[in-house]
Amino acid sequence: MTQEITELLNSGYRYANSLTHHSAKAEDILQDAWVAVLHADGPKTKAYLFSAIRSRFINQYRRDQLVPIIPIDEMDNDHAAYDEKYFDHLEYAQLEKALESLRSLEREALFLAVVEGYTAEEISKLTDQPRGSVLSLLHRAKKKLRTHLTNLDKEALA
Amino acid sequence: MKPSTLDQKVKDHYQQQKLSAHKIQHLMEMQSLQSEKDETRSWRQRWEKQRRLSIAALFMICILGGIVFSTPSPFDSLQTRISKEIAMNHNKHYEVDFVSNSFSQLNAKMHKLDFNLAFPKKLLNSGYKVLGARYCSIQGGIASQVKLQNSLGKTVTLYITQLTKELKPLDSFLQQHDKVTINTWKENELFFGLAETP
Repeated sequence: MTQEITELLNSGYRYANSLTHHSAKAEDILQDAWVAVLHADGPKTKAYLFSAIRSRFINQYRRDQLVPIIPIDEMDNDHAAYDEKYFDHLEYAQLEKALESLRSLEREALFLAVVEGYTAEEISKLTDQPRGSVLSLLHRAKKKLRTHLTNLDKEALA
Repeated sequence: MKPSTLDQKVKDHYQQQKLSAHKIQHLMEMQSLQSEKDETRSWRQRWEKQRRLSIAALFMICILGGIVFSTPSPFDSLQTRISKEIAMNHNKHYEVDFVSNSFSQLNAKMHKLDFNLAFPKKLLNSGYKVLGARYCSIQGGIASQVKLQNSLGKTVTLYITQLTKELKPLDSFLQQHDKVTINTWKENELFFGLAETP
C-alpha cells in the first residue's frame, strides 16, 4: 500500500511538473491536490489525482496563459525528416531547456502520451479537449522539441 | 505509435523525477492525519446521531406520558374518575356565581338544577358556613359547586349532584389527587363530594 501511494504521488509530481515545469510549484500543486483528494475521501487513483492537479493548475495560471489550440488540418507532417538517432546522446539539461520552450498544454499532452502511455482519446477525456486538439498539441510539442534541440546542438558546435 | 528515441528520452527524463523522501513522508503523514480525522468525525457523527435519537425518544416519552397522565384513563375506576374531576374543578378556584349564605336561597337562584340542594347531615356540626355556589358537572351530570368556610376562615368546596343510577352503587370513599383530599358520600338521593387542600 505504501509503495503504491509513493508511486501515485511520484506520478502526480511528474504530471504537475509537466504542467508547471517548475519543481517547487509542482510540489505545491501536488500537495494541494493531495489534500483535496484526502479531504473528499476520493479514490487514490492516478486519474482522480491528475484531475485534481489539473484543476488546481488551471485555477492558478488561468486559461489565457495556456497554449492556444491550432486545428489539426493546419499542421504539417514533416517530422519524419528528423533523424531520431540524433537525440541518442541528448543531455538532460538540453532536454530540460527544450521542454521549457513548450507551452504547458503541449508539455502536458506530451507527458500523458509518452510517459503515462495514454491514448489521444484518453487524454482528450482527461483534459476535456477534442481529440483533434490533443493530436495537434502532441505534434506541435514534438516538432518544437526537435527544432529546439537541433538549434541547441548547432549552437554548441559553433 | 512506435516509441521514438525522442519519446524514450522524454520518458526517461520524467521518470527520474521523484519527490524527496522527506516530501513523501510529509504527504503520507497528511494521509494518516486525515484518516484519524475521518475516524474521529465518523465517531462524533455516530455519537451525535445517537444523542439526537435519545433526546427525541425522551421527548416523545415525555409527551406521551403527559397525555397519559393528564387525561382520565378509561381504565380508572368510577371513584378515581370522580375524584380527579372534583380535584381539577377545585384547583381552578372559580369564583361563585350565586352569592348566598343559605341553601334555600341557592335553590331559589339555581333553577337549572334538577334536584334540591341540601346541607349534608354529615357536616352539620362542622361549623361550615355557606359563601355561595356555581354550576358545574360531575361525570356529565349537572351539579353544584358550593363554597363553604369554616370558623378558621379556611374555604372548602362541596360538590352536590343527583344520585344517579351510575353513582348509586358507589360506597363512601376518600382519595387524594393533585394535593386535594376528596371525601365522598351519599345522603337522601344526593351525592356529595368535599374537596379541601391542606
